[in-house]
This record gives sequence, C-alpha cells and structure tokens, in this order.
Amino acid sequence: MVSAHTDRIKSVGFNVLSLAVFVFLWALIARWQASPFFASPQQIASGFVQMVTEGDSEGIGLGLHLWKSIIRVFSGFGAACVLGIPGGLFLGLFPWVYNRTRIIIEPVRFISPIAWIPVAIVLLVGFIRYVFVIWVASFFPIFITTLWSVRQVNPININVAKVAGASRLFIIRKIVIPSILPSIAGGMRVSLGISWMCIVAAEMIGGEMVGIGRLILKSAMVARMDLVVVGMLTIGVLGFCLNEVFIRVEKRLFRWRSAVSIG
Amino acid sequence: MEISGFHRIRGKMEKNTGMEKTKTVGYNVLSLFGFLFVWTFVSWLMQSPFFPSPWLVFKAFIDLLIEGDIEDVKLGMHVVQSLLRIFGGFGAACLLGIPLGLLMGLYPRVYDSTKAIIEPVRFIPPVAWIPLVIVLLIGFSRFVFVIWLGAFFPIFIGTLLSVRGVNPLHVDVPKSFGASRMYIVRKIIIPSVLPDIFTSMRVGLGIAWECIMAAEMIGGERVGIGIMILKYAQLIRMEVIIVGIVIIGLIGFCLNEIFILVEKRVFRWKEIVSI
Repeated sequence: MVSAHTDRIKSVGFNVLSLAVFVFLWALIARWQASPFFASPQQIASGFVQMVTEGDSEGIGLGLHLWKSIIRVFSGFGAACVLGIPGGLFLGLFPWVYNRTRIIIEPVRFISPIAWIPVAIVLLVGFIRYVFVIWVASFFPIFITTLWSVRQVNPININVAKVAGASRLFIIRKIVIPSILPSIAGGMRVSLGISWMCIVAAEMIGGEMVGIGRLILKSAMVARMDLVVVGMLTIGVLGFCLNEVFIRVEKRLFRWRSAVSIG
Repeated sequence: MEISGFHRIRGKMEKNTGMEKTKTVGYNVLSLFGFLFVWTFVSWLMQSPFFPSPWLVFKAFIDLLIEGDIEDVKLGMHVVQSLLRIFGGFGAACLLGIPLGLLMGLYPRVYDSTKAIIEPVRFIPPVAWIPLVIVLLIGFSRFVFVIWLGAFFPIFIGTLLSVRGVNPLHVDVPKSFGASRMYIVRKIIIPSVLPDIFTSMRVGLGIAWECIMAAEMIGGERVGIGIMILKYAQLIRMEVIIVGIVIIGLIGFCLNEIFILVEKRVFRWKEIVSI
C-alpha cells in the first residue's frame, strides 16, 4: 500500500514535469517562430481570459457557447436513449424481427452521422437541426449494444428461472434487464463521445452563430489562433470530464459486476 | 460429454441453417420491398421537393455517375478522392500508432509519466482540429492530417492497452526458461496483440471515414463525397443528397466488412484457441 502511494505521487510528479516541459518547449518554439499562426501559451491564456470576460468578436462569452453546445448534445443524446434502449431491448427479445428487417437497418447504421448534416440543413431549422444530428449519431451505438447484450445474456440464468417456473415478464425484468444494464451504460458512454464529436462538426457546418464548434471556425476565419486553441482545449477538457463522470457512475452503479467476476 | 453435446448442437444447427438462411434472406428482400413501396407511396402523397421518390433518387445516381455534378465532377472521382485521403491518413496513423503504442505498452512508465500531455489531446475530437488545419495546411495534406488524428488515437490506445493485457503467464513461462526480452516481444507479445491491433485499426478506419466527411464539408475543396452532398444541400436537391449518403453508408459498410473478413481469416487460430 505504501509503495502504491509513493508510486502515485511519483507518477503525478512526472506528469506535472512533462507537462511543464511541454509548455516550455511550446513557448520556446512560438517565440522562435514569432508567427501569428503559432500562438504561444501566454497568448492562449490571455485569449481564454478575454473569452470569459468579454466574449468573442460578437460579444458572446465562452460560457454561452459552451452552454448552447451542451444543451444540444444532451437533448439529442436523451432522445437517443429514450428511443434506442427500448428499441434495442425489443429487437433483442424478438431477434426474428431484427433478422428480417436487417437490410433496412444496416445500411442506415453505416451512414456516418456527419453525412446527415446536409440532410438536416435542408429539412430542419434551428435547434432541432442539431438535436437530429446528435440523435442519429448516438442512437445506433446505444441501440446496437442494447440489442447485442440482450442476445448475450447467459442462457443458464434464463433457463434456471424458466425451470423454476418464472413467467416471461419476470425473466425480462429480473434477469435480462439487470444483466444488460452495464453494457447499455457502456454503449451510452461511447455514444456520448461520438455526439460530442458530431456537435462540433454540426455547428461548424450548420450555420448558427453560437456554439463551441462555431467559435473555433469563426476564430480560424480571422486567424485568431489563440481563440481556436482555447476552443479546442475547452472541448477536450469537457469531453474528458463527461467521460470520467460516466466511468465513475458506471463503477459505482455496477460494483456488483466486478465483485461477481472476481469470485 | 461437453464435446459431444457441442457437436450435437452444431449438427442440428447445420441442418436448419440452410432453410433458415433462405427464409431470412426472403424476409429481408420482402421488407426492403415493403420499405421502398412505403417510401414511394409517401413521396407520391407528399408531392414535395424535400421528399423525392426512390425513382428520382435512382435517376440522380445515374446522372451523377455518367454526367457528373454541377461542376462536371463525376461521382467516381468524388469517391476516389475521398478514399485516397482516407488511406493516406489511415496509413500514416498505422505507421505511427502501432510502433508507438507497442513501445509505450512495453515501457508503461513512459506513458504514465506523459499522460498529462497525451490525454487532453486525445479528448479533443478530430473534427475540432479542422479549423486549425485549414489555417495551417493546404490541399491534400490538410485532409491527411485530420484523418491521421482521427485514426491515430484508437490505434495507439488499442495497441497500448492490448500490450498491457497480454496474459502474464505466457510471458512468465518463457522467462523462466531463460528466453531473452527480444524473443518474448517477438514471439509472444506481438502475436498476442495482433488481433487487438487489427480491431483497433477497424475502429480507427470507421472514425476516419466519419472525419473525412466533416473535413471535406468544412475544408473547402471542390472534390470529395462530403463536399458533394453539402453542395447539393445548398441547392436543396434532396435526391442527390440521398444518393450521397447511401454511397457513404455503403462504402463504410464495405470497408468494415472487408476488415472483418480479413480479421477472421488471419486470426482463425484465435477462435480455435478460445473454443
């Protein structure tokens, strides 16, 4: 235990050190290049402060950009969960339905969500446009993992309950659903990552003025590289945090799972 | 007992699969026709330019194939350009990601100590790099760089994690027989991580295919399947957009299938072992 603790401190120390070296090298190269296309760390820091306090060229603050993007992502993601989980559960329980309509579902699944953006631009306006793209992006991972995990439920668990005379509904409620919940959470996490990527693309192409993706593109157009990097880092940090929160919740909720697999 | 039971089930399955298969294919064809019929019917009912009939979509496809789009660029040209960009970036990602992942997997201390640099970059979606790339790079290299970013991290992380996941028993046995480190890496670690590398390459290719769409739509070249559909979105020509997205879906599907087939072929031994 003691050595694990010191190992940890050591690793954190090395991480801080390597980060410092990285920033130092960056600053050095930026200084040496002295080009407007290579923003130095100081410029980025002041760009960040400017974004938070004053906002971009149109007076929209970083918080508002971020807030808009988050609302869009979670609306689409929520819609995908609401439709994808029951849909996947249903098609998983009735595999013949899926097997016979596969030829319709599969081609749609392989269309990358970004390719739907032009369709959304033509058919929808405003907020719904983004929600639709995010929905398409996150629906299929959730739907497919739910479907597959239903098929993967250990048949022994089902058969034992069956032998003991359990009804179909009881088996679904007490065996199928608890055993697929961890995979569903995993599918949700994956699709949250994909939606986060798609919102950036959708905002860049979709043509609203608020949103973190738009902020990056807008700043690139006027060659404000410091703001571009601020936007990118914000997206990265937020994506990382969302992922971590999800992993924590997963670990907490499905503690029983790791306990079982150890035994 | 186990084995004979397994064979019995397998024999039973083989007898049924022939019948089942034709039935499934039949139902699939049927449901496809049902789908097309409903589509035609609804579009006939709506009579709106936003809802073209399947026939119009097919005509648009033929037009694109033979005559090209509004700028006389043929469909094949768009597809070939997109594929070239993909494979440029994907190849670069493999060349860098696999050795680097292997190295960092073998020396976990390096990765653990530089995590603070790698992790934030990993969580920036590749699409967010596009504006930066637009400013800094031009032409072909612009797309290759975005694709490289998109495909690099899945391949790199997949390789790294699979090196860590190598069964320690397999490493310890030759060690106790006095095998050298090089021998262990060559004969044990590399063969056992290859299937995982292949899987992460497949994932990386899927992400690359997604990124190329965004990169082409934002990146401002005139040729490429992504810009083709955006061009027609600005003209509100739904039928051409549908042709485009169906082709994107088909290519994505084919790339994935080819990879899965090769995977199954090359790593047949893995399945045999796991049975």
